[in-house]
Amino acid sequence: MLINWFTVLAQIVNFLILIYLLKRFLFKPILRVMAEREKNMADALNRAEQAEQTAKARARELEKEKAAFAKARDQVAQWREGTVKEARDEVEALRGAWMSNITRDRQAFLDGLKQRMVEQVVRIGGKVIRDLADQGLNRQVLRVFLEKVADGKDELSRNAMKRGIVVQSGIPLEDDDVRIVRERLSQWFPGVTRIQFESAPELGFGIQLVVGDRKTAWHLTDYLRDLEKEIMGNLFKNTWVKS
Amino acid sequence: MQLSPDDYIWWRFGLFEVNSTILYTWIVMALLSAGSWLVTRRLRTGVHISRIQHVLEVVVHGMDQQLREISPHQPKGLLPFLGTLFLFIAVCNLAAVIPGFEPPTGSLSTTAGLSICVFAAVPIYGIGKIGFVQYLQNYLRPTPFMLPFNIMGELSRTLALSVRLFGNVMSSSMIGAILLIIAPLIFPILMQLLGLLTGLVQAYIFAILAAVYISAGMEAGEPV
Repeated sequence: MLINWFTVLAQIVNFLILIYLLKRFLFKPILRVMAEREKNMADALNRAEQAEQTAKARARELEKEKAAFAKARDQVAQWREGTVKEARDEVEALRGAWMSNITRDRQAFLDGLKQRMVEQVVRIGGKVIRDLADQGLNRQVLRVFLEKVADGKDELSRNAMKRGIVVQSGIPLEDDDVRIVRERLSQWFPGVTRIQFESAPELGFGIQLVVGDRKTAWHLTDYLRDLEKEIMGNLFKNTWVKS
Repeated sequence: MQLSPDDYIWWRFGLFEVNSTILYTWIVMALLSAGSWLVTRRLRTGVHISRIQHVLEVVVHGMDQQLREISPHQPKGLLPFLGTLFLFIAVCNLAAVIPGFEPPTGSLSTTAGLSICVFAAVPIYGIGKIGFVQYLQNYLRPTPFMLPFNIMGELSRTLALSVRLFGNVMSSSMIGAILLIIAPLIFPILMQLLGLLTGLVQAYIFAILAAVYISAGMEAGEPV
């Protein structure tokens, strides 16, 4: 007999016991742990998803901030450029004004220097001439003076009759000189009786003839002034051309 | 030559006896229970788990998935019942390669006991799920004339279930023994390897068929 009924019964009991044991030690714990692990993983995934969402939101925020920052940077750059340009223009203007001031000051200084130089030259020239003046030079002066009087004698003669003639001299006249002058004047203005000679040191190296409100004169000062004018004119002309 | 391990009696007291079938069943039971207890006493719920826990999870999850495919709305106690059935048969069959081990499934008493369990489980789960009347009405489908055939089918499939498993396992160890006599080298090993495969397949077939019978018993058909 292949079937032992006691064994069959025993195996049924054994099998039921085994079901209980495996349910107790295998299926329940494993299923519980699996469910728990699934839940943990789902939670972890949810958390990860939330973290991703947060990160994405933060990334968007950062993107916005970055754009705003870039805009602000552009504005700052623009402002800086403008300010630098303004400052540069201002400096340029200041520098221009400063340069023109310097040029003007230099010009004024040079002008003053030239003027003083010319004055000095003229003054020294005049002094030299006066110091070196002698009889011969005085005669030459008289000659030139008389030529000028001769040129304007018609004009002078109208007043000379009633007012008389005054000869003022800054140079010392010899008697011969006075005589020659008197002769000439008598010759040119025949009706005139009063011819007066006066010493006038304020005239410097020169001599003049006064008839009422008219006069004819020769002065070294006049020549020197002309000379000074000419030199100054030439000097300044050159200076302006140079600058 | 012994055909069944039932005949090898270790200890007897009156009607009570401990034969090889019962003894090796106890060993397998102890192995399964102790192994499960050792692993499941310190289960972890984190991401990193031990390898053996992984193996057990794969086994249990695989069985659960198979069961869900056959019976989507399975009752709560079905997995432990069918899972235990599969594990017990599989371990018995696989342990057959150990020299000296007599697989309890090679005894018709064991397979008959397991079949009777399935035979009893079908109405238990069926009545629990769809009710007594509905369950009995299943025997009258498709027509009341089919009642004797349905009852016969119920009995014959239980018989087939037990004889199929017994025949396969018994023949497998028998072939191994015969081959040892004819060609003691190499061939017995090949047959043993084949025995491993057929052992697992038989365990799968037994469990799947039991699942199919039980889930068929839980289906409520059209009113007769």
